[in-house]
Formats: sequence, C-alpha cells, structure tokens
Amino acid sequence: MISNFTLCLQREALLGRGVIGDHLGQVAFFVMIAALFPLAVGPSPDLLRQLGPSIIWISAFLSALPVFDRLFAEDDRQGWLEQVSLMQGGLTGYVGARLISWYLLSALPLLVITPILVLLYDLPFSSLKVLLPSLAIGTACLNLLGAISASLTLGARRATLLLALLMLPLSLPVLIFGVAITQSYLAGFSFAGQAKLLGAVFLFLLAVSPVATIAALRSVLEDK
Amino acid sequence: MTGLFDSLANPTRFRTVSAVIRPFCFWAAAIFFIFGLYLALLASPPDYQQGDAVRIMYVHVPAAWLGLSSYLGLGLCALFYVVWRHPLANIAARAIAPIGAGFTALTLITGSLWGYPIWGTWWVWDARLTSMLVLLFFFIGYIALETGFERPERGARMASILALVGVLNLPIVKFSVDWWNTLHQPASILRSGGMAIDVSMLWPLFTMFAGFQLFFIWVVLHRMDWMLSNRRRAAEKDRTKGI
Repeated sequence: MISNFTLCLQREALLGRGVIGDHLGQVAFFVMIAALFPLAVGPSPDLLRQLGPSIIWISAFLSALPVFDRLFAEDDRQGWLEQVSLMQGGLTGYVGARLISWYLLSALPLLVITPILVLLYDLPFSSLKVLLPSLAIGTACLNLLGAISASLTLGARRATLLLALLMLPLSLPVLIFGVAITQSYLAGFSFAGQAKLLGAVFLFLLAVSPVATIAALRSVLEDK
Repeated sequence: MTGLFDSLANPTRFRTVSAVIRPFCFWAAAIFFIFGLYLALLASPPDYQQGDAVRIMYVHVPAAWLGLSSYLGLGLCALFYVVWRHPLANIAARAIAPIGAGFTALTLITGSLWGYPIWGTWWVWDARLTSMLVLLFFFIGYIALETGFERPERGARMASILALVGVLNLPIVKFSVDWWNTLHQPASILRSGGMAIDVSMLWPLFTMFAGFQLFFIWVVLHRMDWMLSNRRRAAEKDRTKGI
C-alpha cells in the first residue's frame, strides 16, 4: 500500500505541472472576490480592518468551489480510477496522494498571496503569524470536505452546483472557528480555545473524510 | 427481531401491515393533537417570566425532537441501504427526508417567532440555531443529491453516504447548548439531574409530542406506500411493453 501511495504521488507530481494554470486562475478569483468587498461595503479603513479576516476566509472558501469538481472527474473519465482500484489498497493510496497534491496546488498559492491581501485591508503584519497557520489548516479542512462532496457528486447533473450545495454548509464550523482565531488575536484576546477547536475539526475530518470518499468512489466504480 | 425485519422487508407484506397501521396512527394523531392543543393553549399555565409566549414551546420542542429523530431515522435507513442494499430502506429514507426537512424548518420558524418577543431578535448566530440550520441543509443536500443523477440507484447510494456523514452533526445539535455558552437555553427535559420543567407544562408537551410522532409515522407510511405503488406500476408497464 505504501508503494502504491508513492507511485500515486509520483504520478501527481508529473501531472501537476500541467494543471498549475487552472489553480493560478483560482488565485486570481480569490483576489477578485476579496477586491469586491471594499467596493461593496465602502472604503472606510476601520470597517475594512474589522472585516478583513472574515473576507479573506470567505474568499478562500468561495474561490475553491469552481475547481473542486475536477478533483476526481478527470481520473474517472480517463479510467485511472478503475485501474488504481484494481490494485491492493489502490484507492486508499490514490485518495491520499490526490489530496496532498490538491492541497499543494490549490491551497498553497492562496497562502502565498494572502500577505498582499493583509496589506490591502490594512491589517497589522503581525496578524499573519496567526492568520496564515489558521488558514493553512482551514483550507486543509476544506479540501477534506471537498473530497467527500466531489466524490459524491461525481457524474451528477449540475455537479458543480450540487457540490457547492453540499460543501458550504459542511464548512460552516471551519469558517466559524477559523475566523474567530484571527479576530480574537486582533482584539487582543487569547485564541487558544478556537485554535484547539479548529485543530479538532481538522483531525476529525482527517479521520472521516477519506473513509467516506473511498466509499463513494467504490460506489461510482460499481456502476461501470 | 431480525425475523420481524425480514418478513416486513417484503414490499407486499409491508404494504398490508402499513395499511392496517395507518388509520390507527391518523386518528390517534388527531386525538392527541386536539387534546394537546387544548392543554397547551388553554389548560396550561403561562410562564412566570415569558407569559403566554411560552406556549410556542408546545410546537417548537416536539418539532425539534422530530426533526432530529427523523434525521436519525434517515441515517439508519441510509446505513441499511449502504450495507444490505435493501430497496425498502431507500424508499423509507426518501419518504422521511422531506418530512424531516419540514419539521426542521418548522423548528427554525417557531424558534424565530419565539425568539422575537423573548430575546428581542428573530435570529442569532448561536451554536444551537446554526447547527439546526446545518441539519436543514443536510436534508436539502440529501434530496438534491438523491434526485441529481440520471440513474436513480446511483443517486440513492450517493445520498445515503451523505446522510451517514450528516449523522455526525446530530450530537453537535444536541450538545451545542452545553458545549458553548449560547443564548438558547440548555436542555430542560433530557438532562442529568432530573427535569427542570413543571408537570403542568410537561403533560401538554408530551401529548403534543405523541401527536407529532404519530402524524410523522402516518405521513411516512403513506409516502412509502405511494412510492411502492408507483414502482410497481412502472414495473408492470415495463412488463407489458415486453422489456
């Protein structure tokens, strides 16, 4: 199973270069959503400083939605899912490798660009040391939820819409705890409680999401 | 117990038994509702703090229990369907989903109507309210996923997996009032240390709950019967076509 996993990782590394463009589009979308808010709520610096962390989190969540339907769709269409499921423990290794590569491709660029948004919203740079780690864990949670939703909606009519409909309500706790961390920090309070809750949500999803995803992918393959 | 399940799993026998149970459920629900509404609206005392607004509780609390327990029912049916692939379990889940969504929505609406005079606001983003809203989203997600595929069996399987994931939300709803410091009051009936509600309010509440529960059983059995008869008609049509 381990060798299976490394094999899948190598494959992801080779294929990953080809889809970097898609994910850069996601980064552009992320910045655009974040740029819409000041235009809508007005350019008052005080208000923007207050809303900044929430806007960055919401933008990160929304910008992930349009690309998530491609998490398994291409591998399903090309028959790779079927191939890999024939190997011993194949789907487990595949889902693990796929999630890691997806995280590096979709979440890492967002984290790299976040300091610029912090600048645009006039948040103190010291807030980055809280915002970046919490956002890193938050987007990891989002990816785990996206894996469940993407595998469940694989091959559905209006898959992208359904995926958003499933994923956003599931991500509510992540959003609530994640935003609260930075807001508590900015207000000068302790954020240990919220950080632990976010960590708990992450560990919980790490245990549940691969099981549900693999079950859904097996179901997809049964139909073939 | 397994024998009972096995014999009821036959759709024809299920429909026969269900036809016997349904009228009983309907009339019992009607009697409990009329008696419960009399107790709740006329015979029970107003609250010492909330006055007559407390009477919303007699709809709100049973609706919330039903919303939660119908999701549990949905989850159990989904488990039966995923593990044993029994079509009747899927039909039961499909029958439950919109009804459960209705009760959950009713809980949110009555809670909002209750919240305005007591808390001074229609809605707060407190843990209990938010987790109940997420429960409603799970019901809606189940229905959307169930109907979202060209092949109904695939929709049924995918929706069942989603329903199982959603079961994890149930303890969050139940314990949200204990885990977080919320505006919503903590449990006063099912709690350690005994009930924190007077008998004069408990009886109308239980009567209404019995009415809601019997009504729920009646509607779900009716919907299942309707789905089974639809399925049968479709199968007969296929047979006469020679497919």
